[in-house]
Amino acid sequence: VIPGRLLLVDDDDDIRTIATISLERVGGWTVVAASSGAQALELASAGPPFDAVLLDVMMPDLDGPATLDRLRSGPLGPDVPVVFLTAKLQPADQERLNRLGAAGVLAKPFDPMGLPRDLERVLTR
Amino acid sequence: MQEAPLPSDEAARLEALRALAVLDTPQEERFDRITRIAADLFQVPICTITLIDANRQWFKSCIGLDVRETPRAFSFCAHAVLQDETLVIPDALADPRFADNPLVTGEPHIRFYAGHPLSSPDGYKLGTLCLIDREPRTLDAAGLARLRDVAKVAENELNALELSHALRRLSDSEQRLHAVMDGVAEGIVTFAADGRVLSANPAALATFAAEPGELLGFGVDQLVQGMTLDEIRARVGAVQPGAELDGRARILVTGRRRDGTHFPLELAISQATVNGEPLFIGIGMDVTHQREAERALRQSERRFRAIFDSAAIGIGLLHVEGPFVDANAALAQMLRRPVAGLRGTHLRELIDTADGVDGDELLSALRSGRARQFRQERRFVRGDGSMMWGSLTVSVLQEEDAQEPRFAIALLEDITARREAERVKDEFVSVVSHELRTPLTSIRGSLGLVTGGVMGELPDDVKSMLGVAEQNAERLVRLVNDILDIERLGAGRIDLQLADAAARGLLEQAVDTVSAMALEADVRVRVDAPGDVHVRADALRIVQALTNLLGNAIKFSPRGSEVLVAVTTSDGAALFTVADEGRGIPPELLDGIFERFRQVDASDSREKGGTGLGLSIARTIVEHHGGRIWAESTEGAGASFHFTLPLYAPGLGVLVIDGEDETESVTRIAEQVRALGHRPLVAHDAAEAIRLIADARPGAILLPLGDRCAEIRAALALDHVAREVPVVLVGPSLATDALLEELRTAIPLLRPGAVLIVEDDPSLGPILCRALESRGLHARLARDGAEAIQAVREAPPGLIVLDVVLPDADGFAIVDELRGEGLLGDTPLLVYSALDLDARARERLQGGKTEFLGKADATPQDVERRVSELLGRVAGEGPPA
Repeated sequence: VIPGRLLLVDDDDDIRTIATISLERVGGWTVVAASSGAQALELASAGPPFDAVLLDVMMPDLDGPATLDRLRSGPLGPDVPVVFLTAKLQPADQERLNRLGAAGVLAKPFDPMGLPRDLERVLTR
Repeated sequence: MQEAPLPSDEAARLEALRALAVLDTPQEERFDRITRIAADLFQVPICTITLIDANRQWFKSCIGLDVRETPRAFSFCAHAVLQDETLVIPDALADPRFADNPLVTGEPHIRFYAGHPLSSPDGYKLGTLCLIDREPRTLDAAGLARLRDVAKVAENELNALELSHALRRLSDSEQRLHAVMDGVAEGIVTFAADGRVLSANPAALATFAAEPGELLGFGVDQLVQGMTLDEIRARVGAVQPGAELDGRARILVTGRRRDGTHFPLELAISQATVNGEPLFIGIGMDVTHQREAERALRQSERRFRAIFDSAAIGIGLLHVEGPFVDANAALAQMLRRPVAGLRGTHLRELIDTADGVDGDELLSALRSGRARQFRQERRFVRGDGSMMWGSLTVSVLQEEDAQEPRFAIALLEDITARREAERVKDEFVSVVSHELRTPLTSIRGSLGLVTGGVMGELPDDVKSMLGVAEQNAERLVRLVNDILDIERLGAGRIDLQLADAAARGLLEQAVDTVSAMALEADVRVRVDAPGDVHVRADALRIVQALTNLLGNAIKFSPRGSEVLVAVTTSDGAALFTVADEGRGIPPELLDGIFERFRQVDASDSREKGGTGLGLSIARTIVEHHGGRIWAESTEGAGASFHFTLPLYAPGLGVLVIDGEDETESVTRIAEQVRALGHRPLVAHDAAEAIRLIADARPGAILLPLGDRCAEIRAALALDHVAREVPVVLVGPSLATDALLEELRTAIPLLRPGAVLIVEDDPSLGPILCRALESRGLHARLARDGAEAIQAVREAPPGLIVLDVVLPDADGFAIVDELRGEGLLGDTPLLVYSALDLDARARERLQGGKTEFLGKADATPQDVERRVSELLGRVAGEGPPA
């Protein structure tokens, strides 16, 4: 995987900051961050295409699965890989999220030094 | 020749003759004596006692003739019976009636005839006593008088015969009647019209505790408390004196024994007329026992009814087809429907089917006897349309006289509140886990970026302090994870996804997870696992448990040492071991090591970064699987952790019961069972056997002959699961061949050809057959649809392994055809196909128990394992999971 443009969606400011730093400085991605599902949809329709999306699950208004649904049927199309980032990682949750058409699921809290590596592993799978 | 005309009373005469029952009886001296005397007295060569039958004359006695009968048409006597006086023919040749009679012209050349009629008591002339000579003669008045006298003697003898017959018939009938009277269980007493006892049979004497003869002359009121004959007649419905009595009407009165005690007496009374006098016949029975049994039954019914009515749990009686027959108040209240409305309502109508499954499938399992009980948590639709969560248990009602189960008991518990509480708790846990993890993500993330050098270089002392913060943040993360896990596991609310799992695969996944940690700690992890150990497990959970144990082992291993992770089989279970070469665990701590927050050294949690929950989680997981976990250690020489899991146990379980402490011979039998491809289980007493039977559902029980056989069999017979398993008594040293025969007798599925494999692939078919043989199963092979159908027609198999794609007909067509012919029934199917079958296709292929296996991911060994698992389940008949 060659790190390219990544859309990061999370409603928590701190986590957005940390993940952006981790992915850009450690992983070499170009991160565009959105603080809500709605903003993610706007960003996806506006700029150049993304190579991957890292999507929080629990968000107010549009949650992760709903955002995925709209991204897929709208600006993102069927092919761009989407990876969920979630604080709920029971086996049952993981399975449910996989079935929604995600490339994979990563757990919160994450190790910022290891996040890019874990993301790449999911994307190459 | 002139034939004698028939007498005017011929029909009645013949009847009287037949009633005498003398025709065609043997010669008798008492008649021969008379004819002998007459022949001598009258000096004639021939004398007979002749009876005139419809078409012949028959001689009861005859002197001087060789025949016993001649045609009536030529008979002289037929003329004689037409008159009261003696018929005398002095010379037959001179008499135009007889001159050309063949008896005159030919043998015996009759010339003289004198015959006197013999009459019955009613006056019918039945025949004659006659004298015959071959010379013409006459008979003077004195001679005629003598002939009359002799004839009278013969007549009396003839009629005496009739009398003796009649007397004997009468006495036979009376004896029979007496025998009946003496033998019946009912007391029979006859009364005269005035109510006095005329007779009483032995049963009546016993009923009233009276001596023979003692009751004669007694009044009805002395036998029946406070009632006269007329009152009894009124009770049975003959209100008018002289009205017909209905002998079938039975009334209950109070009987009085001779000792003055009373008893319930069931009485019928009928009437007859003897010699013009009315006779009353009382037939009665002491029904004390029946009344007591009825009362006890009523009482017991009342008690159970009270339990039924007042139980707080909903109880219903269900027809196995589905409709409710009865329901208690609690059930009606729970479902907000009237009891009367529930009756006749099908269980299906009460279950919310939004989640797809209705109760029919389960009921059908009960009907077919595949299961005796099921329990489900379902949503129920109340009468007002609202929903409730209920825990439903349905058990077959065992009836004494019914072969097929007819009714089932349904128990329903309202668990709406519990469900709601669980939902709230789940939501709470979910929110807490999110709310705790979000700030932890920030703390851990920012510290990680700083200590990882991403934000620039830091002074060493600052970096080390931040490292402490980072490690503790990480520990806090693990603690949150573990606590959430413990919460779920502890509440018993994890649904284990039990499946066949290769033990080695589980070990490898766990080792993968800890590989980075092992590398960092410079600990080598060695895996020692044969590839053929399969366990019944939730793979994710077992990997979690193994990871916890491995993580522990690595943490406590010195650098450069080795951690061994291994699996073996032992006592019919898989035994997992994780062993390290660390400092070990002091003996006093071994037992408590699996308690929460229990570590060998209080400083461990800090130094090693553990949460103190890992072992507790591992134990909970293992115990949820029905396994056992323990630790062993020699202090200073490392620790080893062990746990067992049930083997994924395909094949037929065969239980050997060691009732006599004959460990050696039982071990040998178990080995033989294993050699035959089955799975031996060993129990040492009836209680253990019953437990094993409930868990493992063996197909048969082997019981070595011994003193305790009967006792063990009796105990097994009392258990409703155990008594269904066939028991084979085995001698002390049975050859393996003989044992196989015994098992085949007990378990039809082991008989040759019990498995039918339908497979067109020329190499795969035989491979499957051979694979099954190693499990002690002998399979027939059909290469196409026609062969398959033919094979089933010849001998219905116990299981069919079916390839869906075949040259002439697909699997669907075969299943349809077999079902159409009624040959499929409950035959279990293993459908084995390269096609991906959707739900509808699977529905069409359902036989009895049906399993589906894709060809792509199924090796012949997989098929073999699934087949033998299916057979094990079919033979053991476990309840639906």
